[in-house]
Amino acid sequence: MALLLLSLVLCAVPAGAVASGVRVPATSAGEAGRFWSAGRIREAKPLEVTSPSAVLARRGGGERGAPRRIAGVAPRRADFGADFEQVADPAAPGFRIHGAVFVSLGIFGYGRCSGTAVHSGNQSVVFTAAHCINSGGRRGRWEKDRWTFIPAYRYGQRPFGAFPARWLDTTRQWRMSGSENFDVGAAVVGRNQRGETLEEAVGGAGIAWNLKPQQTFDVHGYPAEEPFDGETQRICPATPFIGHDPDSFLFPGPLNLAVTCEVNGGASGGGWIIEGETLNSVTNYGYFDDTSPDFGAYFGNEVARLYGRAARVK
Amino acid sequence: MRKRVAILVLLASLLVAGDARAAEIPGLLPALLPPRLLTEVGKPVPPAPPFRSGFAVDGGHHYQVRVFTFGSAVILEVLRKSDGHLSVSAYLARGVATPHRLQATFGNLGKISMRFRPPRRGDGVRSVCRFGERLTQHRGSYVGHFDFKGEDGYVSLDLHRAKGSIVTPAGRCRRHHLTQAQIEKFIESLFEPVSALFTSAREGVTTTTLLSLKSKSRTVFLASHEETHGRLAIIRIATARAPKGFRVDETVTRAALSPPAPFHGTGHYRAEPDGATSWTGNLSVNFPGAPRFPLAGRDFKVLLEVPF
Repeated sequence: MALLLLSLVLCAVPAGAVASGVRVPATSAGEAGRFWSAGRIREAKPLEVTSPSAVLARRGGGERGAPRRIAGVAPRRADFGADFEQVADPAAPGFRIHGAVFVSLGIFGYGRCSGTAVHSGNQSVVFTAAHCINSGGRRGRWEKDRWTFIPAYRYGQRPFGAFPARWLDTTRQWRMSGSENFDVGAAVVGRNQRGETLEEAVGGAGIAWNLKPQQTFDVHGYPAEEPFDGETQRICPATPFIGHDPDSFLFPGPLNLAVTCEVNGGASGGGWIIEGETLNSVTNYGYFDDTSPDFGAYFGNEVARLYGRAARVK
Repeated sequence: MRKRVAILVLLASLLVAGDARAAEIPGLLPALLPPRLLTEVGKPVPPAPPFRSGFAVDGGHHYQVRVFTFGSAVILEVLRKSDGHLSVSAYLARGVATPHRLQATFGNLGKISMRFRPPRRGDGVRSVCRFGERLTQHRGSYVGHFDFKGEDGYVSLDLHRAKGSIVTPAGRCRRHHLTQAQIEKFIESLFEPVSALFTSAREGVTTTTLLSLKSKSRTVFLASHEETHGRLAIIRIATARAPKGFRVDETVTRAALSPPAPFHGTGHYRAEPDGATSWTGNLSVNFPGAPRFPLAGRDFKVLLEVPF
């Protein structure tokens, strides 16, 4: 089975995918866990798209190719270690692959987003929004300091530990243009305090691209603005695709997706799951005058390339 | 959370259309907008040089129809304007938007497939300076097929040729300098007390907004409506100016908007002692293709701000 999955992953990696992104200075899980104290997490502000599609892209990548799926995988351990406090729902199967992302912004404080563990050969890939990793455009700034994924986070509890990033990347078009139609990023994380890989600890969602936009999604995330507090995982279950944002037509890349889900800041990067286990979009943005609907990037060829690069990181 | 981009883009486009000879310089956008706008659908377009291309024709019934490229979209604009007011419906579709080719399908309203042809005599090239940017305009004709029939046939076109142009930037040029008096007037206007009423309604990806700003000298009204139908987005905008039309009572618990054409009717704002607000009335607007479009009702959230 493992061989089958591995071959599936290797076949799925698009030809020509090259390693890129940025390496993150090594941080141990223990150090990351200590750094992200309850106080710092409380201070963390949601990361937002700073300049929506500030500069428009110069080249392609938005074409739709053949649909492709990579199956998810269950965690190696079914029970939680005694070292970790058990929490209720976020740690349950199907939810534990989703978590909160925290990052230090230097003198600007701390930022937060959401993310989802995705199955890959290196067992350590997290998908999130690109703006949770890089501010976008040609002058985009990498947000890599203390970038840490905490799956199933709840009220300070980290039932599966903290996973500091080792490598970060976004779609190339996000870094070239800042077009929100390409607002997807990926991280490869280190092991947790118990020495487990992310996939050993929580499993990983499958991932699919080039599917029809007309899907029904379970939208996960950690919204942190009123009336939410970012301390619990939220879900909008079985919310169908309702259309595209008119703004999306003006910018390069595949038209984005809209669903009805009242998320707000902090939920950026939260996974959109189809058929119970397959990641097919992530939360990108909403509008200040109305938090519903929620907009997410379409997973096309550029996301496939990003996945390929992340999966190749050793 | 973020601001709307599409409406800003179209407004900027319309601002320029007001004084440019639109038939000759379609889609000529001010320099404050991103200059490099290239299509994504179909084969990627080489990055240089950036361009804007398209044409404008008379749509009858006082409508002007403009087709131009903007980034990944081909935009078809139907606009009507007169002194003090303007209304436009813009149809955005993905397609092929290369300098010499316009191809897109506007849902079941029509489609375009045209190629640019330079003039037979001369090179048709001229140079203009706008907003500090020198632009080279290659004039010629678009040849092919363009048919469009607006909602309920409010505008109907079936063309095989239209005069148009391709505009490319060619460096910087001398800026238009404001006089000291103009600068002072502008700064003064920034600090002028303004009353504002903003109301919006959203259902899914369909959004309707109305903004009214009242200063000492005049009141401006801006209504917009956005919707998508599959791979077609429609954005409608209407603006009007008037010396009056925005009344607020002394207690700031009641207000009324009665804008001039293309608006009709009156919208009523009411604030209750418990803080609840309502926006009701028969206020509507005539967008091209969507007459008497309602701008008030229970679905609208409303915000009123009045300076002390």
